[in-house]
Amino acid sequence: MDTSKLIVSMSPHVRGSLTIDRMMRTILIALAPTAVVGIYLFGLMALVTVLLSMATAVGVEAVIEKLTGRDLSFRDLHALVTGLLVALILPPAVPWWLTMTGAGVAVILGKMVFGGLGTYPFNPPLVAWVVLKLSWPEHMSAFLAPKTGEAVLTPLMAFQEDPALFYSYDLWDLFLGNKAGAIGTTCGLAIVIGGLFLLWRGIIRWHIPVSFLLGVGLFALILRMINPDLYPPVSFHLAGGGVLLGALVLAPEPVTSPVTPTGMLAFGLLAGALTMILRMWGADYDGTFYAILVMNAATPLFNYLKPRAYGRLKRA
Amino acid sequence: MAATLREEFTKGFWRTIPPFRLVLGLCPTLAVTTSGINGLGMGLATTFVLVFSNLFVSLLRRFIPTQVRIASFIVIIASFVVIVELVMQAYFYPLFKILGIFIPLIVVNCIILGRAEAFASKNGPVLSLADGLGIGLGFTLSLFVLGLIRELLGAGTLLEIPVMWASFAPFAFMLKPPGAFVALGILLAFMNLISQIQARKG
Repeated sequence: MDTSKLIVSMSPHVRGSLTIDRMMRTILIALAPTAVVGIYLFGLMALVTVLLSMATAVGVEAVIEKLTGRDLSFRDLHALVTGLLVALILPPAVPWWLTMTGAGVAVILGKMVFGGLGTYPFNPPLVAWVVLKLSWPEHMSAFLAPKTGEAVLTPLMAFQEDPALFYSYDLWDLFLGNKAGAIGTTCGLAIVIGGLFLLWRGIIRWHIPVSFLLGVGLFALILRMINPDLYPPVSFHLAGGGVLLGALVLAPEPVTSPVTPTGMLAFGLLAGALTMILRMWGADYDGTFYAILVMNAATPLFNYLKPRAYGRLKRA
Repeated sequence: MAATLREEFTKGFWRTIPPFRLVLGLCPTLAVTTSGINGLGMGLATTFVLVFSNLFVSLLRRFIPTQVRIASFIVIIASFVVIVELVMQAYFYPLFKILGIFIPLIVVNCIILGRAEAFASKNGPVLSLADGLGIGLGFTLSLFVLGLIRELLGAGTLLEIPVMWASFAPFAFMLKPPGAFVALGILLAFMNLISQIQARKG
């Protein structure tokens, strides 16, 4: 038999039309409403933060690739997405050097030291967020009321001070963004629109967002049933931008989340539950980002939860 | 003889510099290097123990039965650690307070036991002394440099003298445990880079 025409190669054997830059462009479009609303609510300083963060991320990545003699990869737009996400989880009035440090840390420590796109174990914007939080807690918790710009607490911070305060928040205010928060976590509606767009375009699958929200919701429901005076209603947790951004954009990040359906469901459920544990009993006022990072570390374990291969018997 | 003596002494500074090349003794390296002074103090305390434990292990190497050698080494090392601990308590109390539990923990520093097992128990006292001094000073140098870097970025000072511009907001992350790992990793990367360049030249 003539075998010279046989090509032996590694998978994947069939490639779809979804390239990295197309994927990243879709994510940028999905995040656009969130960014626009954030800039509308917090004005010029939010715009500066967003642009500075994106420019720094792209620049730092290009410099590193130049230094290490790799191909420049700014065309795949991933650095742009990383920079945008870093800005979206920052409070609106951070100083410029904090924004630049954040974007630099996300690209260097979050992404490039592990080998770049596709190989990093932790969500790069969240790595940057934790580093900034540990370094400059005073800047990272200085939140402003939208439009008026006066210094106020976010609902979760206020809640940590006094559990009774959650009654003073209107659910629609929380969801539409009439409250203090980070640039991108203030308006839940914009995030939901972006998330639905991502789902529709097939960039993310439903498993992690649904199970994440379910994890948060069930946990909140159980607490609410135990003591309604001490624990806020389920909607208070689900309407906030932090949980929505986490569930729809940050947790389903394709590199750092599991690939099997069962694994994704377990990942989301546990991340949601951990979010609630950190919110209710943690030292910090919100635990969404920490929960996602912890679950990122466990992603290889979740990938063991895979469906039984066809024809293979159940283990006795 | 003179060549090997110098060889054994200088290998600790670059070729087998403990925390970077051997990646041993990481616990104190990461835990106490929050400032240059702390790193220097820890390094010198370890060097003292290393030099004398090497000397005595080497002198006693013919009397120590092979079966119980590890336990015997630990007894020798622990004696010198107690000396360091008492001396520091008497004369360097503030530093002793900062370094805390990591002084008694010098007993279980793998560098010291490693040198006793791999070098001092097989070589004469003079060579062992040179080996202990070289490795110890290399360790001190590593801790000092790591401490300086973390102090500079994390507190904006060098040896407690402010050196950064007035509006510098300290990068406190570098003083925290994850910052220690990051600083160590970056230093390691730089050393590997220099080695690669050297190898390419040579």
